[in-house]
Order: sequence, then C-alpha cells, then structure tokens
Amino acid sequence: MELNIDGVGFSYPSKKVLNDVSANFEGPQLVAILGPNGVGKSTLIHCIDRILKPSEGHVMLDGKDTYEYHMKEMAKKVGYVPYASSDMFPMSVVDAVLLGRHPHSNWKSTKDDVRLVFSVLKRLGIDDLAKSQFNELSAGQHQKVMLARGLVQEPEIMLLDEPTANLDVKHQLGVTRILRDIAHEDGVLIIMICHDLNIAAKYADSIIMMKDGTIFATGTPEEVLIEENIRAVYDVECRIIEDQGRPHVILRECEY
Amino acid sequence: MSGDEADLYVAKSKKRWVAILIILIITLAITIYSVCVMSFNISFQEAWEVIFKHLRGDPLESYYDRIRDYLVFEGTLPRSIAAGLIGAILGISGAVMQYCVRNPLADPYTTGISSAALFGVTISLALGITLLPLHDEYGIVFNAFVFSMIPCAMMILISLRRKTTPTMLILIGIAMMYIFSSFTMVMKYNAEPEVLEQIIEWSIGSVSKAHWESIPFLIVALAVLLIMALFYSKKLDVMSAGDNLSTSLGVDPKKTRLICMIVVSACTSVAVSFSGSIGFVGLVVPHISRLFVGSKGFALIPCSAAAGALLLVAADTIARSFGAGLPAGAITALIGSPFFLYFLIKMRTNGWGR
Repeated sequence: MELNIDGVGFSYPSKKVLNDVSANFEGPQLVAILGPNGVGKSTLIHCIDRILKPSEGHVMLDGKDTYEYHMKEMAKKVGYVPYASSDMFPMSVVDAVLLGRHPHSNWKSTKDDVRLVFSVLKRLGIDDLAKSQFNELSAGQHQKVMLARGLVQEPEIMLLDEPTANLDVKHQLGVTRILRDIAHEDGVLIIMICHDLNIAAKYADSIIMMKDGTIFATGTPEEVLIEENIRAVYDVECRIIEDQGRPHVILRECEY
Repeated sequence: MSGDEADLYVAKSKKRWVAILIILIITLAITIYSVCVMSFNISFQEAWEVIFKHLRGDPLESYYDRIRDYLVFEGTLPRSIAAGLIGAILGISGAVMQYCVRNPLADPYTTGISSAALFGVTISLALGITLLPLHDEYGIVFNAFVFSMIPCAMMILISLRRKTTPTMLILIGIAMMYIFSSFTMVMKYNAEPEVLEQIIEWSIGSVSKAHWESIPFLIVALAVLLIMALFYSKKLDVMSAGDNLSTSLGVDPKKTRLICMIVVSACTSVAVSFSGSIGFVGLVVPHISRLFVGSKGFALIPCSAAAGALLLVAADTIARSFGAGLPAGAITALIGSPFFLYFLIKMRTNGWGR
C-alpha cells in the first residue's frame, strides 16, 4: 500500500487548520502523529479518510486520488477508529463490533463475520465482554471495543485518533504493542495520534511531529524526539535518555 | 472456542424472529376478535358469519341482515385492518426517524409531520380551503397529505443549502411543529363549536374515518416503507455509530438520511392523513421493540411494524368497546405506557441500560 499526502490544506470558515501538509507512507508500519492540542492532527486523519474534504491538495491512495474511489472500496482499504464513540442506541459488544464488517458484507452478516469478531475480541483480551452492552462499559473497555471494530474491518491502512487516551499504563503499553504487532504481522499501515511521547518512542516505527497545522519533523523516533524539537513544538523543556535502544523523554518544568 | 461462540450468537439472533412472530399472532388474534366490538350487540360468531356471507356474495334478505352487514363489513372490519396498517406505518417511521436524526425522541410528532397535517385539516374544516376541489372528506385527506410533507421538505431544503447536524434536523422539525400548532390554535380559537369538535377528533387521532377505499393507499404506503426500511436497515445500523464512522465504513450518512426521510415522510403522511395525529406509537413502539429484539434494524424494523399494529389495533378495539365516539389516539398512550415502563425497568440489561 502507498499513501501520499500531497500539499493538503483544510480551513474552517473562520480558521485555517491545516496548511500544506505533505507526507508519504509506504508499506506496513506503525506511525505516530505527535503534536500539541489543536494542531490539526485529527483534521489530518479526517482528510485522509474523506470524512473531511481537503480545501487544498490531494490524498493519493495507491497512486489514485481518494475521491476517485467508491465509498465502499475506500472503506475496505482505510479504517478509522475515533477518539470517542457516538453510538446512539444500546447494542451488545458483538453487534457493535460487527458493524465494522459492513464494507465486506452485503445485506446480512455471515457466520464467518461473527467468528472474526470473536477472534478479534480474544486478541484484544476482551472476549469476556462479548455479551455486555456497549454503552455500559468503562472508558477503557469502550476504547478497546472501538479498536476491535476497526480491526474487523481488515483495512490496509488504519487511522486511530488517540487509541490509548482512556487506558491505564499497562493497557496503553499492551494496546500499542498489539497495534505494532498488527502492523508488522498482518501488514497494515497504522497511523495513530498519540499524546504520550514515550509510548510513541517505544513502539512507533516512525513519527510525524506537527506544529501550527503543518508537519514540523518526520523520521524515526531517534531522529524526531530530540530536545530542540520538543521545545519548539510543545514549549516544554526535557532531557532525552536512551532506554532499550529507544529514546526516552524525561520532562522538566515548563512555564504555564 | 470462538467458533462455538459464533454459533451460539447466530442461534440467539434467530430467536428475535420468534418474538416478532408472537407479536404478529397476538395482533392477528385481536384483529379477528375486534370485528364484533362495537356499540351494537353483535356476537363474535355472528360477526364472522356476516363477513363470510358477504364474501360469498350471499343475498342480504332482511333489513336486519343489511344493517349487520353494514356495521361489520363496512364498519369494524375495514377499521380494524386500517388500524393495523396505520400502526405498522407509524411504528416503522418512528424507528427509521430515530436512526436518521440520531435521536431517541424522534417521531412523526417531533419532526412536525403530525401538526402540519392537522393544520391542513384545520384550514379545510374551519375556512373551507382545500387544495384540490375534491369531495368533502377527500379534500381534507389531500390537504393533510400535502401539508404533512412540508416539514420534511423544509429539512431537505435547509440541509442542501448548508451543513446540518442530526440535532439541527430535529430542531427544525420541532420548530415546524410549533409553527403549525400555533396556526391551528389561532383557528381553533375562532372556530364554530361543531368545527372545533371535528378538529379535536383529528388532533387526538382516530381510525373511525377509515373505509375500504383508504386501505389500498395504506397497503401501498406500508409496503413501500417496509421494503425501503429493510433495504436500508444495515446502513441505518452503521449510521447509529455516528457520521464520521459511518463515512469511514462506506455509508454516506447524508445521502442515506435524505432518502430515508423522504420515503418515511411520504408514507407517514398517507397514514396521518387518514387517521389524524395519533401520538405515542411512533415514539415508543421502536423503544419497546428494541427491548425485545435489540437495536439491529433488520429485526427492529419488522418488530416495530408488528408492535405498532398490535398497539393501535388494541387501542382502537378498547376505544370501540367504550362507545362509538372515543378516538383511538386518546388511549394508545394509556395502554402503551404501563407496558413500556414495565419492560423498561424489568429488562434493563437489554435496553437503554443505565
């Protein structure tokens, strides 16, 4: 798979959010998008998945503009896991995850679809929740169910908006590792928005750092996570040490 | 083993159809019984003898025969059938609207359809304005039909011109509802007593005006609505996960919403123009159904149709047993609400949860 973001810009009537964003991704890997709040990370993901139409530039998927794909074709290639679900009606976890099979199924879900749902739930360690009501889960469980919904979609490219935001330390590590494994073992290009610099440093294959609606730095964690970059983007002082061959950020005081 | 669990899940999903079948059987039973419920004393056996006699085309010899034939074959039978059809239409329309505007409170009332129809009826009754120079009653029905399409047209016009959220759609509906209600109120205030009585009957909603001639219209409306709703049921499921996710899963939420709202509006308008604004069915029947069969459209939509039919047939039968004049709309909520509350509290794990 090949994803080219070519000079993408996006404006709301009152504000320009993205400005000339260009990036290229090839092959399966785990990419983390870092950057302060309101920098346009979610907007960028929305532009990639056609949820928002870029006001400038193009997003090319395997050499073809995303807008040339049929919606369902696009849904088979690109999956999206939102930050929070806005499911309206009560549904069991199985039914909620089963919605993710929509691009692949026609009118009815088959038994194979259901089997896949159960195996993904098992992979994420939440198969005991299968019969629970989706809207009665804790925030962390909820987030894992949404992740499961993205996984059963079996896309080539997966976009995740802060998939670990509501998880405790152990589950943050666990889920991000699962994401990396999926990227490497199943051959998926996973792009996730992340706020935890060290989680990104530990698992991501490459990092995109955004500032003021555009890309500030890209590269491997070692290349991007350096003191100057973090100071410039977040306005935070820090010290970088090395831990198990990966950079580790130790945050210092900041002016607030 | 995940295979076994999947088998279990599929088997359990099939049980939903049993619930729907049971509701249908009860509806049919009440409908069959209801033909003898009226203010005249005709027994159940007698009533069905009359119907079979009519269907066989036996000559009506005595005056008494003709009276009975009129009371049953032209009276209670078409009325019960119409009640079932109208109830089914309202049930489905409520379910689909709740999906479309992503709001559990959406129904023909809160989207303005009912009060717009009532306004059409009121100008015909109070001012004698009919849009087509039809015979009295048909003029009223046509007025109701045309006006009830206005709120939906308004929603569509606004959503074509600017970005609209589901919440905005329902607020537009509510605004339309209040506008038409105000107009109706002003006219009611100045209306003659006899006219006022008729307007009130329409505003409560009744199936007493249903004849054999109305039934083909209702059957067509129900068929179109049911087929459309089942066809779109999976897309509606996906849309319940939100517009962004729906786009990402390959369902265009705006397009689906537009098509569904137009079809639902048109079909509901047919029902409402024959019955007046019967409340409660469209709002609560989908929620009751959800408690039994869950939130998946493919089961929820037929279940809402069956439960809507059951509720309205039962309400009309009870209304008739009290006397000729009581409109069914007056008691749908009365008999429906206790059931709804009971199931809501009893079956909490299946429904709205906390």
